[in-house]
Amino acid sequence: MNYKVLDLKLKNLIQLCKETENYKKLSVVSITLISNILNEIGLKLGIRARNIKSNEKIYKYMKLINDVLVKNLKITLFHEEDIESIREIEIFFLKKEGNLPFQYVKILFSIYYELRKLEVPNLYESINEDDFSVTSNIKYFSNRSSKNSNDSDKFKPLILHKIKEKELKLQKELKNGFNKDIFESAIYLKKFKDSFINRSTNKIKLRGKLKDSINYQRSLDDIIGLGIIGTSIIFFIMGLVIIIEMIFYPTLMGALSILILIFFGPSSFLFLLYWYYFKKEGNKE
Amino acid sequence: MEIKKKLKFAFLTGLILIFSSLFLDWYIFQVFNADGTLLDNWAYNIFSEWSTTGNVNNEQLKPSNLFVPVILNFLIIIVTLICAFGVIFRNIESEQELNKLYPFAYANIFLLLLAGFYIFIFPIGYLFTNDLFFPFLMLGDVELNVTYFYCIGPGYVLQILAFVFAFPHTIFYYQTILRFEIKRGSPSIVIEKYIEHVQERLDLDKFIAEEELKKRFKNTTSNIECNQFNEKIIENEC
Repeated sequence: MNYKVLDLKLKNLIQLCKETENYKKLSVVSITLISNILNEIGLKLGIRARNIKSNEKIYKYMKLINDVLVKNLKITLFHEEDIESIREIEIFFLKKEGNLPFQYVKILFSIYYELRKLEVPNLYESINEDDFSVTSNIKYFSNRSSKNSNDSDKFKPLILHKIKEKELKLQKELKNGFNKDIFESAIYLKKFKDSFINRSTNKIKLRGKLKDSINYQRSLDDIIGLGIIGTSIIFFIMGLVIIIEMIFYPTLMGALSILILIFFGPSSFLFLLYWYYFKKEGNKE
Repeated sequence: MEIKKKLKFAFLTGLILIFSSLFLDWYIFQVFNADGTLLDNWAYNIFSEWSTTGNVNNEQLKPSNLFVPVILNFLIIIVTLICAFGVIFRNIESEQELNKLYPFAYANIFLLLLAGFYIFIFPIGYLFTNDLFFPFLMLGDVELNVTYFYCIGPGYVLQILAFVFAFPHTIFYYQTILRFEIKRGSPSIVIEKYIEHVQERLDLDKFIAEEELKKRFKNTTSNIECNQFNEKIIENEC
């Protein structure tokens, strides 16, 4: 819903409820609004929605979001005082079946507007990596290292150390006060760290069709290399068969030795051709 | 022809070669006399074992049967047909769910392994154990004054060629399915819809209307009360 329209309607409703002294309606509306905004925050951060069916309390859900963020990013999103206020009011609300004094309603609305200010980034939105200068150096090293597994092993601790440093810096900044951009950077860094650690299992995800993907088009260049390695394998198998034949019939060793050269020679040549012109080329990119 | 079409064409050629190789001779054994005249000619087919086309049908010169499991031949035919279906009717480039192509990718790999198995195991497991030489050999027998000629047949050669033709497509196909994943719609849109779904409905217009009614009713009631009070005062004064 458009927040401007919502605010106008809320203003109107608050005015009317004050006149009719129907604070029950206002308390229900404010509690629902808080529940909805918390669900939105939680889902955007990749946390499950509040379990209304099993009467999960709002303050408990707020604690859950905080716990997840502390565990992953070492930051807290909601102030303890707000959680405590919500807890007191929620218990009172349940006891009195929604009949809250206007003072509590005011607190609930102020908390709701505080929550709305948070502007939590959507974890599922594709983030433009170039917008985040914090990760540029790390990305440079990580891209270099991903080309070669040996290099990767060498660079990995250094990259992880760099990530850790950035993480701590962001956490410190977030502790001073919530900032959407810093929070977004922290989330991106976390995503980046996870993908870096689990790099081997990551698939290239694309939208639309495979033929429109630049990565797929580039992978077509490997086909010639595959043809070469396939031929190399078949020559190798033949050479191996000849070696086994030599073991079966040692008297034929002299006659068969030339075949070893005929099969293993092209096999090695093709393998080297593949290695230098396709495998290494692929690594250089 | 663009490289994708070439790749497909090569794979189909490989499939045809694998299929036709099963019906061709895999090994040839010939006996010549000192003049170079062909005395006997035995050819091995993996379905029908040894058969001769020579003028002299000398059973004594017939090599012993190799007993390559026929079930493997039927298996290779079935897998070849599955692979042919996959490459002709399922286009990996326009597929929306690459995961659905995994069975074809595994079938391709299985076929390649079967071809590799024949190429590697046929000489080691069946030829060498029956004193048949690989890939070709001419051996003279001084006592009988004959020359034996051992040679792999066109069926085996086609199997080798089929492996070379099928290898790039098989590996490329599997690699592609393993590397790529088609996203089904944007996750941010999906999550927005889910957020909408889990939100508790709040009909503020309805609440406003209810409160307005209440307010009007309250005003009307108070006006009626006021009128009644005024009337009473007027009556008393009179």
